[in-house]
Amino acid sequence: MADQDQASNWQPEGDDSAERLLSLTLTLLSNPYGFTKEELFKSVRGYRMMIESGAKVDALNKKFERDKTALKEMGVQVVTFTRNSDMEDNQQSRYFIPADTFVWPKGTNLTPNQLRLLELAAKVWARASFSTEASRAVMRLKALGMPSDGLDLAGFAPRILTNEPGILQLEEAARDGLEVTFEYRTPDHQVTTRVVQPWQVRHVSGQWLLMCWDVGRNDIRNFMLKRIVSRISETGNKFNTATSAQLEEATRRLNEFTDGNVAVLKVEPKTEAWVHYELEHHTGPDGEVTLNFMDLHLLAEQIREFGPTVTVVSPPELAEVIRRGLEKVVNLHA
Amino acid sequence: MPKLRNVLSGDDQFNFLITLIGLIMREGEMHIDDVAARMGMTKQAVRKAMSTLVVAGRVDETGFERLPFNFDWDLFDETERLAFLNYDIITDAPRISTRQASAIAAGLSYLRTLPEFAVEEEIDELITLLSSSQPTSSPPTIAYEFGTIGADVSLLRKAIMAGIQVRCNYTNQRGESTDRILEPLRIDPRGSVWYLRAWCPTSEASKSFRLNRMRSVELLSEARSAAAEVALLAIEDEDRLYVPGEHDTDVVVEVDPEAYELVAEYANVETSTSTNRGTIRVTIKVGHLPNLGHLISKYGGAARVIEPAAARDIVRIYALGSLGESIPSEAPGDEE
Repeated sequence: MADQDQASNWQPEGDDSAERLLSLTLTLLSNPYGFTKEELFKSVRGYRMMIESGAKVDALNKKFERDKTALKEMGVQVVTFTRNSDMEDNQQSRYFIPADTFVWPKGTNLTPNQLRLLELAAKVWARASFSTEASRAVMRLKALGMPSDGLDLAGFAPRILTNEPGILQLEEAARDGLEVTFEYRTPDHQVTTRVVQPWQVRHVSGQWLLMCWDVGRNDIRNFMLKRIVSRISETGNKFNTATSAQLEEATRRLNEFTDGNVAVLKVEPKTEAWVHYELEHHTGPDGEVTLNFMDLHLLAEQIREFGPTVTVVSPPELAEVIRRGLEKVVNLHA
Repeated sequence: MPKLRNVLSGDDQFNFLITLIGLIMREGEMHIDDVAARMGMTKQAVRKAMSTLVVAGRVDETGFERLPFNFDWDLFDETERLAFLNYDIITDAPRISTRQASAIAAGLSYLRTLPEFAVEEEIDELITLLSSSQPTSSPPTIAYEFGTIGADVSLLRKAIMAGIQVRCNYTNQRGESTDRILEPLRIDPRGSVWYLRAWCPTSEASKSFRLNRMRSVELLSEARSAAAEVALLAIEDEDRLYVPGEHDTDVVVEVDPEAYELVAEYANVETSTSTNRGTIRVTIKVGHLPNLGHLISKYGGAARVIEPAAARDIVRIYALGSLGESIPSEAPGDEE
């Protein structure tokens, strides 16, 4: 992690991948007509040194593919193309990095306060791979300005938690337009195999959701990450990554769905739930609270925590889900 | 990323190198101490990075090595200032990747849930800037939707910063509402539920209190006690809500993916994964066994206590009580 208290020393690892990646980047940026792989192998220092020490073409090819992936992961766009002018039988892929994709447009600046906010934003990621990415971003952004030291998070330990193992892979699929498949367990324990085109990983009401196009259902669907019960694998199909309009539509439908889900609960006075639902100053019918919910089963989880002090007035399905869950707990702990 | 202290991975080194080039190009020339301060690295690290930079390059068709960086060694020797002569490949700071931009944007949305940052207009500007992290911009791939939390957060934070005690009204899990003195240590926001970690002088322990059950917070003039200061140090590197204590009981639980969040907040002793649809068995340290009643019942079967038997009994009795089928002789419930 490129953070002062984490790592402030430069101790190259066994390999010199940083230098090779830099040489490759500089070379690819230096010529808009690009280079063929062979040209790169001859001219980029790291590859040339491999050749000199007797490396096979296969090994070079593998290394080059890995380096391309590594650059892409770090936001460096290596473009592949073939030149029309090349002879039909001599069409070779050429590679280059468009300069405008590499650096910020001229005049991009950050104020000290903005930079400080970005630093703090990077710190809220806990125990998740996004924290590495966020820290790297902050390092790069430091070139754009000097952070102020006004704001700080002292007293808070904010944490975005990701307990779901698939989150990185789904984010990557959304970014690169990779269709994926996984097994999804609905709350009534039906396991189905879904094929989806991920649009966005979104944290709503304390849960990570995958907003996506469900290929099998031919419609927009939201999946709760914690209900994915298999590995996530790519189908090999690609799709165009989500547009803002698509995401807005998915969000609108989710909100509409939540607005349409209404529960009425009766809460015993002077209980934990009574305080939780802020009923002290409530003026409605005695001890009744009306609320919207995104997911019936999540609401059931919340209510089970309150034990017998909360009774469901409506909908009946909610009462049924709570009861079935509790019966299951009793049986599992008999 | 593995937390190797003081060692940067190859990717991190590369990240540092391209930033270093961009920074020097933007500034024209810069003193090595300023570069180190700006990047949060040691002077020695900057120097070593420079020595990597100046040999990076390519070999042209005629076999000549072309080193794009014509580093101004004279200037450096005389003044310790860094500058390039005749360099034009990377002319500005490097952009950031889509994933990096999304991660930061989600972090910013999250920050806005903290009252201190709720009115930061610059957060929106930044999110817009981040969405242009690449010229072919696409919507963020990660999003964090912010919610609302209970009141009094600012007041509690004030107490933490000033190192003083508070009086507040707190309703525990049994519905008992009491006025108590707490010595606030840290606020732990967790999605829709926020917690106050505080030293409780009555029970002489550091505990987590839910903010949404706390009312009428009032600052006192008394400073935090010595015991509270010790507790504050103890939680410095621990971001889980439940810190193991000496008298904790080892409890073996089995959780399905739907209930992973339950064990994430406990210090795990041991985890073993079964292949059966992501179910894992974890040994956790539990301070107050009756807590398990509502914590486990909540998940309606997705979390199960395997042993000890006493803990299984607690869960069963709690669930039965919730069903209204039998009233346990002693209502299980936690302090907090």
